Amino acid sequence: MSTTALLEDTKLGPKAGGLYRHQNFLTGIITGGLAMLVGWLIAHYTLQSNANWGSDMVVTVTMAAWVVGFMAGIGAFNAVFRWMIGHDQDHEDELYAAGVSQGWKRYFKFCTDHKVVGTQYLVLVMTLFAVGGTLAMIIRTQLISPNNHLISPQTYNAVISIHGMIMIIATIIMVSGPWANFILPIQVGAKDMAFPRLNALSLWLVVAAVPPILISLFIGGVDSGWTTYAPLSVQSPPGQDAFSITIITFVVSVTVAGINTITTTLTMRAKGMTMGRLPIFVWGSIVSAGLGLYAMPAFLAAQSMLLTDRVVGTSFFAPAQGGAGWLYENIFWIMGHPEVYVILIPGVAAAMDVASTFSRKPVFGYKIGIGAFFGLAVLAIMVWAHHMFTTGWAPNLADPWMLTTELISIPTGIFFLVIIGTLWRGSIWTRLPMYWVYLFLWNFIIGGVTGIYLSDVPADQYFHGDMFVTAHFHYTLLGGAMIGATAALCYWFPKMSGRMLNERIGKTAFWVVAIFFQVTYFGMFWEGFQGMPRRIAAYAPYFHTANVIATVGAYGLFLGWVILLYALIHSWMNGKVAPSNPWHAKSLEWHISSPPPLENFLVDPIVTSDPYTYGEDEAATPAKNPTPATVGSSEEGAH
Amino acid sequence: MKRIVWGLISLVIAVVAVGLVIFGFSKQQYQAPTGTVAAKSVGTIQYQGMTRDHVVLTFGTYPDSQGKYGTMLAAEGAASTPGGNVHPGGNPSWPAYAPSNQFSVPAGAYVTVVWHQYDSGGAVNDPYFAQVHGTIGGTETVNGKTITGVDANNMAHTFTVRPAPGTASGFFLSVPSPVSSLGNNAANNAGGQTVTFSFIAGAKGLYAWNCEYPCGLGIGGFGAVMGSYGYMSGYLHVV
Amino acid sequence: MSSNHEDIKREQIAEAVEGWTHGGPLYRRPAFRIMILVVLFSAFGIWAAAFFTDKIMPSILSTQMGSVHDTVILFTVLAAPVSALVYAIAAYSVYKWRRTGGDEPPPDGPPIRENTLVTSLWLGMSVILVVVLLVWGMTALSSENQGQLKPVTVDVYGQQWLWTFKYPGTGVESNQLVVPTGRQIRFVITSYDVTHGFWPNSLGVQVDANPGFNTYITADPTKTGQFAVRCSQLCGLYHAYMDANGKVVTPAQFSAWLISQGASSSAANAYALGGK
Ligand SMILES: [Cu+2]
Ligand SMILES: [Cu+2]
Ligand SMILES: [Cu+2]
Repeated sequence: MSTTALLEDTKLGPKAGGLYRHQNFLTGIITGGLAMLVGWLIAHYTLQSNANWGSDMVVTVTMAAWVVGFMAGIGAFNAVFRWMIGHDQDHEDELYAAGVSQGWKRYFKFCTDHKVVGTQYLVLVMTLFAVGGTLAMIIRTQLISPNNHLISPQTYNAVISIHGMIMIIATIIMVSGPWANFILPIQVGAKDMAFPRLNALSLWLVVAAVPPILISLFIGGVDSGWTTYAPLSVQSPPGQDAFSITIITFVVSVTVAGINTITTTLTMRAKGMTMGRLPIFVWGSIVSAGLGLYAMPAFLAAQSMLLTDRVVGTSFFAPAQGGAGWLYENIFWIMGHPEVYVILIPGVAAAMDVASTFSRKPVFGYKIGIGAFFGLAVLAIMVWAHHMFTTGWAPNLADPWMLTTELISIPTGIFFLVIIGTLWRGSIWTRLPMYWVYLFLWNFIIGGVTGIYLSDVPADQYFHGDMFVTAHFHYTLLGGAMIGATAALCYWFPKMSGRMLNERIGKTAFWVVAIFFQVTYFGMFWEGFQGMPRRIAAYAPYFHTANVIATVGAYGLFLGWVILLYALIHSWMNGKVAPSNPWHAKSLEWHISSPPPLENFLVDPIVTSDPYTYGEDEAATPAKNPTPATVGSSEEGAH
Repeated sequence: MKRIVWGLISLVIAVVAVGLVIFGFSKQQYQAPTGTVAAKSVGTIQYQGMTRDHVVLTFGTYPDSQGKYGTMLAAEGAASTPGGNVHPGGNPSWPAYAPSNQFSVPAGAYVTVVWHQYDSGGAVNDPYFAQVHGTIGGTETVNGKTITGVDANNMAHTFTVRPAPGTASGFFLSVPSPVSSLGNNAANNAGGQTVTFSFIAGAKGLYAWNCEYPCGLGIGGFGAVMGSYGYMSGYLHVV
Repeated sequence: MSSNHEDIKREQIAEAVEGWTHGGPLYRRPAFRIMILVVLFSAFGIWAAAFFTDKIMPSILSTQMGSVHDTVILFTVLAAPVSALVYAIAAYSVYKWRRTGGDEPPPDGPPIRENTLVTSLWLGMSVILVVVLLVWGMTALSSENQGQLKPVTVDVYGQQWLWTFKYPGTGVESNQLVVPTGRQIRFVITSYDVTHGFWPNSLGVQVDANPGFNTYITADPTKTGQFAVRCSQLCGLYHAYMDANGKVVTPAQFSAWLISQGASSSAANAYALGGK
């Protein structure tokens, strides 16, 4: 009998888990809905006295009640509450919370197993991409002709704002959610994350954060873009209040998740797993998490102040009462620029590891690569004002901001050096994950070079706020980070699902995505050079050709992702069973079964080298990482 | 067999892509959607030595979009307007233009507008909008008195029209209205001011109109009704 | 690690590096082939930048717009070879070093973990490029304010969803932005309500209009022509319709236009033709 079965078939006492036994996603929704109703009743009948602020107060209270109610209903506060009343959880309760003997149902529960959380994150991220992508298709369809009346200007503004924010949420968690939760603890040789309950908390907080932002579409929407610049956002429809609640909840989630990732890496490593032996993906993840800890609270501050401006009439950002729009813009971008590297770094790091595995070579310049992560993180906190080059704020500081911004090309350049150095004279094994690495290189170069134009203040005087910027950041965030994340998805899919991904369908998806991506954003660059502003619902006829190109490209791009989604679902349900190490890679996750058992390693692994020993004579080195005898339920052991 | 299926699928995708391109380019000409109130023809008129179609466009502005809305619909014979008694925007306590927010006039026509104004008001941000711009003679007539502007500190709404991007025209029209004679006690059925003015419609195409007096909620007065489509904004279709 | 292992490693690396510069005729060496690819990719990149600036961007009506064009070209010329190097190595790796492994991985590649020389060269090159970019940008920024005549001041008011332009001293107020050639134009920009972005397209300058205070930007029109004034900052419902007409005209035409808008001829001439 395999060790996997041993733990998961453990019979727990009938009372194990306590209240957890009766709580799941559904009870969360019911409790959240009830809390919403109560919140609405209270707010509606006691607080809606002032016509100007009343509806904002009601929406805020209702949405906040939903978040708290949902989290209570799903059981996020059980353990804390029991601890407070002196009735702490015992070992059986903990095992129940980790999902032992609950089968598929554990995926709908407040489950503390990091692998369950990782899988839940993956599904959540893909759902968010589906919603954001559909909104993108609505935007592109609206723009297929100069004065299309598919949707009203008000709806259009709401759609672009929600598209932006949903995509930002999704991309922030697209690597740190599924992979830093599922894979990272195994890579460092841990049995779980350092704080399993916080891990589940971070996931379900994102789930709780999603409904308010979607509801905002139906209560007037947000009309000021995902950046929600004040003072426009101070006078937006009540949708803005729901939007702010979403952000506040989401920031708490990202912060909790970041602390968890860093602590796990620093304190839970296996014997022999020194910091210098960590896969570079782990380094990318913790630098990104650390940067998130710096950046995201600023978003919380910005949205909280905006919310109080709207609800109780503080006037941080309302110029008519002594507030300042620039205050909002500064706080926002103090979050906003580091945030793009929170998104980017883990995607790049994953691409580096994939490149190493499929070139059968060590990561080139491991140390300088890590140095580049840190360099980028440090620079990231000193460049936010480049988003404000054209606001008129501090024009005499343009030079220093331009310097810090242009310095970014040094660490970014090192990313390319690391990857092409890894490819150099490697044995390129052309499997699906490697395809995405090449696409990453192609796109990210274009994203990077177009970023250099924008860093130049005089050139930014033309390009700022126009479609050129839109095309640029889609090349970096979608073409760079998200393609890197897709490489990670195809790479770790067998480990996660226990099935091989169908490469035929996957490669079809790859080519459709790769080609139509270029078409879409070529159209957008064209629009940008012509001078079409962002976020407009109608445009002059001479932008028409470029817009048709972008729209048709966008449809193709969407189709490509749908094909990939089909490949994923199809393979997950009836793909070929995956061996424990289909890629013959060397990091720890490939030494245990696919999917891994609860608590990952039955015997603690002992690590004797980093996972990049390709081409280094096996006999000449001492025992590999880890030796077969110390591995859990591996089917074939280390090779 | 598989090859043929995939070939066919690729072909379908290619055809759809080409079709979309053609569709995208063919949707150049914009048509007024249903629910648009068309100006009534009252014959022809001589203007600057040219005979032009003369049309009359009637609308009103009300403190809330419930009151006179249905009556206006009936008066305009616009039974086909969707939404019936309630303004399509769905917020009946907000002020609105009635009977619709979509109007159409023939290109090049001599358009006379009759505007029944029942709402209260206040001071406008930019005094520019207390002045009349773009009408014939640069004037409007309020209750029989011809004027070139209203009191910038006590005005109600404006009817400001500009070409939508995509409409090649230098057209610009902005006409202010005085507040209801009941002042802050404005009602849907009393104290109305009748504003009339005429203009020559521009070239064929889509024009956007909106009110430039910040009659909405929130700081600056541009929230709610001003930021929401359909109450204080809409389209003028020149067909 | 044992010395045995070190030896093997060194051997493999030496073997890997050898093909780079030695062995076989010139055209067969990776270095040569990659360089060919670099040249091709660079040429394409520079051509694309020239095409976009020349054929697609609005025409140059001011020195500022001229420097936007120049910047795009120069930065592309600088960035293209570096990008092309990445593309060339990636393309070459697929073409030359690909192994069809099927389900089994190909044999391991050489264990090249780092190369101080390459890394230093790469870093040095990045630093030099950054310095060039920075000097270019700073020069363009500091070369403002070269006009000898008194600048023409135009007051710009943004509001949902319309631009108004005032020509102080003449009493002219218009929805059209008309500026003369040969003079520096000083825009004083503010907003009546929310933040807007004042963007006279072909003048190559842009600055936000903020409620409650002024922002400033200068432009030096050099050529007569038409352009669009757009709002570049999402400002609510009809943001898309916040376009205005712009025109660069000769000083004489400018003063005639001011008079046609109701300015007295003395005020118009004083304003349009300026003085020291
Ligand atoms: Cu930035
Ligand atoms: Cu109004
Ligand atoms: Cu604007």
